[in-house]
Amino acid sequence: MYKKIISFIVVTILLFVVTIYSMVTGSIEITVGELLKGLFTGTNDNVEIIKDLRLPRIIIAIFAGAALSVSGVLLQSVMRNPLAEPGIIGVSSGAGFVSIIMITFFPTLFFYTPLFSFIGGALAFLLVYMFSWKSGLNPLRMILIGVAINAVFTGLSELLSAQNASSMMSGISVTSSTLTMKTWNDVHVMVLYGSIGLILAFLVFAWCNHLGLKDKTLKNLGFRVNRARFIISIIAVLLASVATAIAGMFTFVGLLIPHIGRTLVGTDHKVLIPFSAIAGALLILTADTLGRTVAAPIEIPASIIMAVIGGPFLIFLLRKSDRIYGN
Amino acid sequence: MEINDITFAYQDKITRLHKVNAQLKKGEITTIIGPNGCGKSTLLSVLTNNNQPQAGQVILDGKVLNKYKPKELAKKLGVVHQQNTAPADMTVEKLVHYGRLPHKNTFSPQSEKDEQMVEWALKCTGLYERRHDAIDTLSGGQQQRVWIAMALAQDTPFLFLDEPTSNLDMYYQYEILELVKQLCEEHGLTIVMVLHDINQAIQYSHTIIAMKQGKVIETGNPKEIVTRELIQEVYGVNVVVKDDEDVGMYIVPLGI
Repeated sequence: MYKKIISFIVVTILLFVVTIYSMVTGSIEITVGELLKGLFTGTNDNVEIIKDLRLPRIIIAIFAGAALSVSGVLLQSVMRNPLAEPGIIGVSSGAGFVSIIMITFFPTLFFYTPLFSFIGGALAFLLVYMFSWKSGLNPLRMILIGVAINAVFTGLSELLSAQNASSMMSGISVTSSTLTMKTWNDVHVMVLYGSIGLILAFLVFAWCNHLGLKDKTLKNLGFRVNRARFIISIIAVLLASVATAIAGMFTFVGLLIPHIGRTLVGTDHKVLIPFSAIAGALLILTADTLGRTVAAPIEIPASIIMAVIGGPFLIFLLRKSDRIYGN
Repeated sequence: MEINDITFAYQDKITRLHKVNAQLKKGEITTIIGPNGCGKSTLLSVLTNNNQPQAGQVILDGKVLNKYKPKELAKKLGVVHQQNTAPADMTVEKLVHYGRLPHKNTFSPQSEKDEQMVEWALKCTGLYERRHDAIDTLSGGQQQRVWIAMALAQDTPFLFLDEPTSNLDMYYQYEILELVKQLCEEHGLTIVMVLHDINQAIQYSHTIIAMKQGKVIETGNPKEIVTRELIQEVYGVNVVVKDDEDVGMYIVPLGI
């Protein structure tokens, strides 16, 4: 019990500290005092620049991290598979691919990117589901099909971007994250859809818990398993697609954070979902902050930093705990 | 519960149940016996609406089984499956609370009745002292009782048990069977179970349904139907049937 509370307090404080640190560090350096004063009075030019350039990317990093982690939690619960993750099973690459196609052929529809992204994500997920339905949603088969779908969409996207290397598609990358050059418009989209998804995800925590039991057990309890699965999946796809549309590809975070969460706060989704949201936000924001400060002025994509610090941390936690929590 | 001419096949089109007829009497223990693959568990899955028959119907309280709404049916039938999974760190009490699902809506809080039923179910199964423990710290027999407790919390007049004694040692097997007997006698539950041990079936059931290759071979009171010939026909095993004054009726297998 104490472990849960302490874990929560620690990640929340860390997120707060990293947010402040991220705002004051970079090519323009100011003190925390100047920052706070400038935010309220609006008279400090440096703070105004930070507000325009640095703050959007910080907010997007926070929401994308939360959305991807929670999406991972939901997918793992729906598929009863500890390896399910939007990046691995192709939801993110499907989202990215459809967005790229639409923007390549209909550049004027740029504003609807999140919608295309959602359609692509849902399409990829549907394909994984359809192809593994016959095997009774066998976990191993499902992951293999997911990996195949992911490969196809990633390949197609790379093909498209290779052909249009010089066009205006800098907004979307198929292999890594893109948190530079974010505007307040991006923030609005990310925060709006991200919040909706996160709130919905929290509302269905009880259903995610129920899915820890077998289908037939749930059926005998009068629970409509497939309806719950469908709704949870839509929420998961929404979260992953909007994050992909705005922040690019982040594989691994949806796998890493939920597993760290389970070893620290347990498998109860009432606790696991909010914890994963905060921890995911912390991880991506930390990765992005390091990425733009460590080797400045060169920027290292946040997804790369994240994999480098996240991987060892997961191994460390798994070594300490005696088992891997599945669903 | 009436079972009328049930015929059932999975997607592979092999007929698993062939025109099965039976009656389940209220307040009694009915045991289904038969060799591996004879359709015992399949029959149980049809009776609990986990599978729908291609022909025939199951009638419960004057209504065809698949006409019930999921929750409505879950208030009538409790089922304990052979293999179950739950998150390892879930507590006994929490899992037993799942039995209350049919009685509430997604967002409704726990009622006093929920608490009472869960407490009763935990005490019935002797798990009250361990209610705060995680499931994976329990022994096999205790885990089996947790699932029975969950079905009891469901507060249903019917309880179905699919091989409740498998993989348990002799002590736990009889512990479960005594519990089943007690539930039937003291709480008036109608119980249907699948057993492998003929002697246990004889000892604990009011009615036995003997099956082979998807068909009911014989059904009735164990004293009347269990004979050398029946066991020979159903299992292909040579037995002697004894009726002892002190211990009642029992069989001893002699060989094949």
